[in-house]
Amino acid sequence: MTANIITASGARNPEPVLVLAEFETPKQLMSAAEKVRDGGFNHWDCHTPYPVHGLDQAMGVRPTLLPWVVLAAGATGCIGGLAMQWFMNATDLSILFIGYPYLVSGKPFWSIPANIPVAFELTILLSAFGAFFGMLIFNGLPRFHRPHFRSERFRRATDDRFFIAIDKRDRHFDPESNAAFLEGLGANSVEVIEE
Amino acid sequence: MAHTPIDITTENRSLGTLASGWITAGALLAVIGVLGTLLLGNLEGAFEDLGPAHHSSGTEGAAAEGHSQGPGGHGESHGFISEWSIYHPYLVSACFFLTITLGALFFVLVHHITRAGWSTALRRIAEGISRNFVLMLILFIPILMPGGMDHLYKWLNPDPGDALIGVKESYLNYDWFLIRIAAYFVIWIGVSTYFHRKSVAQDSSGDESLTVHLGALSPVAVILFALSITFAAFDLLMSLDAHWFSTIFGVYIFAGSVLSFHAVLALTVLWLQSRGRLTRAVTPEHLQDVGKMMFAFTVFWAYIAFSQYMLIWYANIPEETVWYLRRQSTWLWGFWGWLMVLGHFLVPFLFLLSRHIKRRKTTLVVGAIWVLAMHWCDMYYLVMPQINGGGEFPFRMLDVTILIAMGGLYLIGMALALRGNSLVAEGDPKLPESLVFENV
Repeated sequence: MTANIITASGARNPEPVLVLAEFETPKQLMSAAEKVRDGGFNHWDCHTPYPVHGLDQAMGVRPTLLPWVVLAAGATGCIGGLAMQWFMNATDLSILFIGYPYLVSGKPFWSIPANIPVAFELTILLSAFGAFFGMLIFNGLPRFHRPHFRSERFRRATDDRFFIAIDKRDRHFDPESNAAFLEGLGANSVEVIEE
Repeated sequence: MAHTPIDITTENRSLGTLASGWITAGALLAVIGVLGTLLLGNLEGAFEDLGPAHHSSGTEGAAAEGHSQGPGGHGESHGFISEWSIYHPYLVSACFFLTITLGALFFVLVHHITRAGWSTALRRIAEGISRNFVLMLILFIPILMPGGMDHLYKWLNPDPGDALIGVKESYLNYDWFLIRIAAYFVIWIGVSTYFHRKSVAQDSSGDESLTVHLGALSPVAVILFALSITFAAFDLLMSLDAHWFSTIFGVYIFAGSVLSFHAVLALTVLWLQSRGRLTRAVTPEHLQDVGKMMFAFTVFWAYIAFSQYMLIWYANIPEETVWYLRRQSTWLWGFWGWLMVLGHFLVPFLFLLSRHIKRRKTTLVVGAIWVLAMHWCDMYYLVMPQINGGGEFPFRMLDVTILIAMGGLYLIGMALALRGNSLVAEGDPKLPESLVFENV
């Protein structure tokens, strides 16, 4: 059995960009992913209809940096919120940086208890932004098209099939040997997508 | 998937010989605590004055105490007892353990009300700890006796002409107080016993209808729980200063309860694992979730504590601010307030932030012990500044010895509740789900 080749219609000089292997069960996917990981591949991914526990370890995915992004964003929100209130209500530095000191119910201009709610809300807001937009950036989203979508079979990745895709940026990318390798790991079918 | 389900029958899941060890250790601690209390209490003169009040004579008592802390315009009359008595450290310790037990009951109820999966493997331990309400009732009896009440609660014998207590008399009177306390304990003992018994019955029968039944019952139980913990907090702790009030006070106690219970849960489970129990049934995934709950309720506690503080600070009404004034006017309680801010919130918040901290046993133990210590400090902060308007350094060795004695009894109570049954809710249909539970 050889790999199906799917070529983008209208491509002038089609060349392979993706090797896509379909697996029947998460178990097969898991053991295949371990082999691919051990094969030293560096630009590949798994696609499953639902989160498969343990797949991260099987793929050797490094822990995400996202928590640090969220922490930094949250800390920025907290400090920024305090600094903003300090600047607005308690400064009178020069004509360029002038705040608007406003006396509220006899409290000091600079009083932490009054400033905590704003600092807290900004911490939450920026943390959420950091998590949401950081996730988008790390995932390279939004993206409207990927070569995977040329495969009819790949539609079942949202239903009942499990996929491994090796990208052309991978250092071991070579459609023929990759296809044979993935077939040897128990893939139902292997497709090479050309664009 | 990644894990094959654990065969629960191959797991060491009974307390077994550990029960007698706990009972021995608990008895030892109790004896040490009681002896220490008697010895040191005698040295410190704690027992000289256990009879009913000497300070109820109004003019003489109030003048002798010489306070100007009372809310504006009230002169000497104030809403709290300002003399140290042995009942003060006793109340601190009793409330420390009562809140832990309340947290355990909440854990069980919230498990059923949300039909949780992950916590099934841990629920039996929570059920066991929640059975300690019986012990708590016994421990609270000395406080509820007229002598104890009289040394703690000013509203029992208010100063003559104290209008602020006068208007509260229909609520704050001895008979109605006792009825309420009885009602709380009826609810707590009843609910905890019922949920524990049914869960144990399921061990052998595996009857799934029990899960449905307890699930259907839990919303009612949670409402009763919420009302009882709120009013118990008002009665036992807030009414120490009968002039002062804060509607959020019950939530504040609730936050500390759930927080401290999860710390106790983490310590119990890890200790059991170190003795070869539940080594596979409870995984780092469960521990991480217990850590998450500790983290969440650290934040929740801070949120509630700050909500209480900020509204009082902002409104700046004397009869509300007096409670904080008492806690800010001396260096000791000022320092203690910062201990709450930094030690009860900021330090555990930053410490428990990382998932690695929550998954590693040693760090989780450190976090849990810290949280428990801070919870004790919190209880101390609620009770002790009432003494002499916060002007006195109230720490005595009795604070420690009474805590040790009660801790010993608490351990015995846990051993009695947990022995004889499996440490896991074996018949629960959600157990397989819990055993393979993973944080994504």
